[in-house]
Amino acid sequence: MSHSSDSRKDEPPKEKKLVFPGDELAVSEEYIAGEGTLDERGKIYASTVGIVELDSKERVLRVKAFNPPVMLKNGDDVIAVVSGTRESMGTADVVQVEGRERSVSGDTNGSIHVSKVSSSYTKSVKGEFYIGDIIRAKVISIDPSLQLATTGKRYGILRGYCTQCRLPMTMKGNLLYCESCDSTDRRKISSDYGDTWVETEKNKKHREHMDKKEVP
Amino acid sequence: MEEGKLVNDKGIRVDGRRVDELRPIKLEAGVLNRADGSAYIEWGKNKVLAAVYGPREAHPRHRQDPARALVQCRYNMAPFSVSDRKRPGPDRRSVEISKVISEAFSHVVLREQFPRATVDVFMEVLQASAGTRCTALTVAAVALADAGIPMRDIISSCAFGKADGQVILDLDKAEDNEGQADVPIAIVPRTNEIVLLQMDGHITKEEFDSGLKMAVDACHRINEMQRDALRRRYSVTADTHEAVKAISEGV
Repeated sequence: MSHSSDSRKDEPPKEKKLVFPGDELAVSEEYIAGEGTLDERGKIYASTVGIVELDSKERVLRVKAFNPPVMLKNGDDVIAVVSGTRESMGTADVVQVEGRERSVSGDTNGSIHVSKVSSSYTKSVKGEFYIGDIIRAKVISIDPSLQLATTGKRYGILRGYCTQCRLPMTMKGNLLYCESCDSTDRRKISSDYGDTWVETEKNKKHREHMDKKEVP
Repeated sequence: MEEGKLVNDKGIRVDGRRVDELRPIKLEAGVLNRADGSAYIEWGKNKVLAAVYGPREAHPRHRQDPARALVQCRYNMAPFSVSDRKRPGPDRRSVEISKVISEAFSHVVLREQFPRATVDVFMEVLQASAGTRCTALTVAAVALADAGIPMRDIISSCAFGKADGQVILDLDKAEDNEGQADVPIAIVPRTNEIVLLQMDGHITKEEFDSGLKMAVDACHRINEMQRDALRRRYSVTADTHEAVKAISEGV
């Protein structure tokens, strides 16, 4: 497809226009219906409330929603809870996408293969994660099934629980330590283990407010 | 006004409305913090709060549809919403209303985009005074739009009926109880498709046709109010977003 032959001048950038579901935006010949739009009987309509975005280069028309539903995609950083471990594979339920307030739409049952637990050799997922551990992971596949990876410093356990007493463990060196049973564990720990603040649009303001408050 | 007359000779009703006049409507979007989308409506003496959650994973699992999302609706009347205390919980009537509203929304929500998921719509009737299913559906449509659920249109709803032999729009409590017919409808305003139509009472075909036309016109007016509510909600957000961005970029 060549755009140079397109003699028509590209429209000047229009002012930000707020549209509602069902608003007629263009005819199908003008643009490709992108996200937030639908193509019906030769016309493009908005399907969500949002701001119109015209990509005049690719000729795609999008409607950018203010708070769109959360769909997992490759490369997303997610917070998940470990739900099972085996020799070669672990499973975890995705609770949230980092930075988003809304709960996740669609499949949330992810699995982590041994080879994707850490960048060094891992013999078994058992021992690296335990059921109930809260982890940060990266989405590496959606289709046919949700696959997660915890290779990299940032990824791994954000909060681990003691296997004997179920109390949250503290980090001691690169080990996890349980104060009540005086036991230590070697797990795949994230670099920001502990009270991690998962920042979203909404709680950002709150954090800034609290940060200000703490200063005497 | 004569005793016991719902519509007088001048075509004025008990509450002073003309036959084709709606009760006053107040609509606000984005009223709940924890919901993905929400809205509140006051329509005459009706007060309904709507909340939308999802799309999220459908439970129990066997109810999931591998090809599309479910739209699950719950219409619920508060015990204090009517003059005699209503026994809490779903009854025959509210189960039916939930079902018809859910079917209406299933026609406009782009369900194929979210396989195996569910979109949950909750409508809580805080005060009821005739026409609550239309009120609930109208407010839920705004809540769905507020939640960013992809839809073909924002559906609008309104009732028409017959009292004192006259076709009237948007029945109030007296007209509903003593009138001859009540016909709630819901339409897709862009295409005028009917997505909900029920009827209680008797009405001739001619009366039905004229009433339907009146109600469809009213739905278009209601649709404008729904959009206004969303416009008010998002013009605020748009400004704040700009302001926050401007500050962070040091402009």
